[in-house]
Amino acid sequence: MTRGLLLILWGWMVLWSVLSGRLDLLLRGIFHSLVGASGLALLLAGVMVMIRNRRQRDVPRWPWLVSAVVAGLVLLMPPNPSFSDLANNRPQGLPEPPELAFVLPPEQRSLTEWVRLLRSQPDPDLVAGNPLNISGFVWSQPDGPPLIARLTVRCCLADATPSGLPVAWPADAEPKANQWLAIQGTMAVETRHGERIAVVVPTTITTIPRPKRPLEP
Amino acid sequence: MTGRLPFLLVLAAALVLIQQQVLLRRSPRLVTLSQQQIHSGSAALDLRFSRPMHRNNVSSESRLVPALNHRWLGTNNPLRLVIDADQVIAGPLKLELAGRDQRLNPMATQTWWWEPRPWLLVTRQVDDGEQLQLLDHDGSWKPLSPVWKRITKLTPIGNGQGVAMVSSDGEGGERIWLRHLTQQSLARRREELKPPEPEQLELLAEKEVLFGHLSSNLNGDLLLQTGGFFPGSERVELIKADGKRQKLSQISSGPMELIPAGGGLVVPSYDNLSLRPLVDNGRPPQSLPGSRELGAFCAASGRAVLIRHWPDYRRSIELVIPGLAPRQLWLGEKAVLGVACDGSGERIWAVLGEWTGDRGVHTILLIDGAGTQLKQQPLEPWSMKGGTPVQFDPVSRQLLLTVLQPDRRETHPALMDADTLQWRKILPVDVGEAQWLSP
Repeated sequence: MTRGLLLILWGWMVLWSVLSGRLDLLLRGIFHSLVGASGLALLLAGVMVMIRNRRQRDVPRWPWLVSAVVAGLVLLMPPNPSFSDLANNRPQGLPEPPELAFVLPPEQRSLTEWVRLLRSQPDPDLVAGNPLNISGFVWSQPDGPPLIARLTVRCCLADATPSGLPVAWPADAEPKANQWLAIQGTMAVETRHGERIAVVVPTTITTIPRPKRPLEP
Repeated sequence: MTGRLPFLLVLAAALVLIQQQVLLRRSPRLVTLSQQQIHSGSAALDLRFSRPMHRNNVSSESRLVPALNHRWLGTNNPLRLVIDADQVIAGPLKLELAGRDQRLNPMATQTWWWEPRPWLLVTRQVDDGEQLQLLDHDGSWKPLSPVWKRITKLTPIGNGQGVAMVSSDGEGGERIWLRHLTQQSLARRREELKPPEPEQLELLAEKEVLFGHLSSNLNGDLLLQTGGFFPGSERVELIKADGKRQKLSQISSGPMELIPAGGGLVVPSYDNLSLRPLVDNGRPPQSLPGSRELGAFCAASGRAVLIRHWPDYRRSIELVIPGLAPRQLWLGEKAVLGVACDGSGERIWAVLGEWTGDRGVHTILLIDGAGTQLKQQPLEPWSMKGGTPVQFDPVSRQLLLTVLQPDRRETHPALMDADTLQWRKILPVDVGEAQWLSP
């Protein structure tokens, strides 16, 4: 009976993560159906175990109790990861850029597409003056002004790779780590630490809520 | 048996340890060195190393002779060496390459010779027709094709690995050819720098066609747009740099052009000009309404110069910057015979023509990206041959035109200083058309 209840609790926790969108913080959307199916399987298994053992009363063991408490906590406490901390601890190796990068109108390129373009064509003067319209989280840097960034994933948060762009923050801007911003502006070229780099020059900065699907493929 | 397994495990662990220590101490190596056509300067090289390099160290320890202003770009591997724009490169460059990797292991210094100047290609008039020829930097001409009755279209492949052309038998039938080339513009010794070596001559369309239009991008892709002798026989095919062919279903009202940086093409239609991706990305194409034609691409910056035809027969020259409305640079009643621009679209050259009495007078105009007229110079006594391009070479900062004198039959390749608009050289050969080939 207790085992069945535990399986139902975990099944519901997995299914709820899919239905509530919490899984968007951990895993790419294409894998959500698999996770949902496994949650459903756990639920069904729990129901079957309960039906089979409905006349038995088993003594709860302490590992089961711990497991139930953990599942309950996961259900009750929504995840709130610090993308900035995660980005600081991840290698920066984006996959090869898509061929279409140059064809997309600059203001339609996402932040990740900009970073891919600049890594494949590291000549900042080629994009100077291009308008841009991007959104991302503030990625604090240990030795400089924060970047505007996104996390890209192939599968899940475990393989997340940060991609960030330097920003010429206006004097009155106070970007806070993990704050989500939408920036409209232009791309410009600046020399920082003796190196010419492409820098986002914002014309408008708007604080936005964390997107429903913050991880980019 | 019991002693062998631990022995093998210890041996394997020792081998791994030795390999790790050897790799740790091994000097970094240069793996590939290639010319890069997509850049904002006058010339560029891409360098790929066996391990991530310390860019600032490579920059400070390497030397370029002559000492032209340049910059090293890239995070650590590959690195890109870009020669700053606005510098004339008069001959081959010597690169003494040195530097350290991220662990500060030194790389053995090595010397490379680099010929960044483009090659001049012409369709030269010979006894029995026309022949594709290339001008060596020593002044000699090298044949690159058989002699055909006529060569109606010439398109150098953007990465310099070939030349596509359309030959005509003079009776309405055309054939499309690709002469493959091997570049020899990077070498360890100066005497090994040579003009491109002709390789196989490939027939690109099996049957004769009524017309063939060609376009190439800097990646080395080639677009074939052909029409046969029967209705509905028009075909558009993309031949990628790796030789793979892909049929496209684009419909256009005129010749389509691949965009230099790759990935898309400009498609003209009766009432607009649209930019379409080569692979459908699910987004609507970007269209520019009005009667416009593509004048020139400004290298790989995504900028382009358009020629707009107005209903009252005036023409305008427009600069298109991605994401912004076209900027009108010039408006007038003269015919726009050809335009060229530099890599950033800050300098635009236009050849304008008007009829005075019984002959056309051609003038070249230099304007900046804001439309300010910087210089104007009549081409007299020469005029530009209709249907031939004006091309800007950022390496030597000169313009290439095909010119003729009104009372003579011969047409010549002509080189003009891009800043002063003074003729540098009119080559004494009779040609149909002249174009640059990337090194």
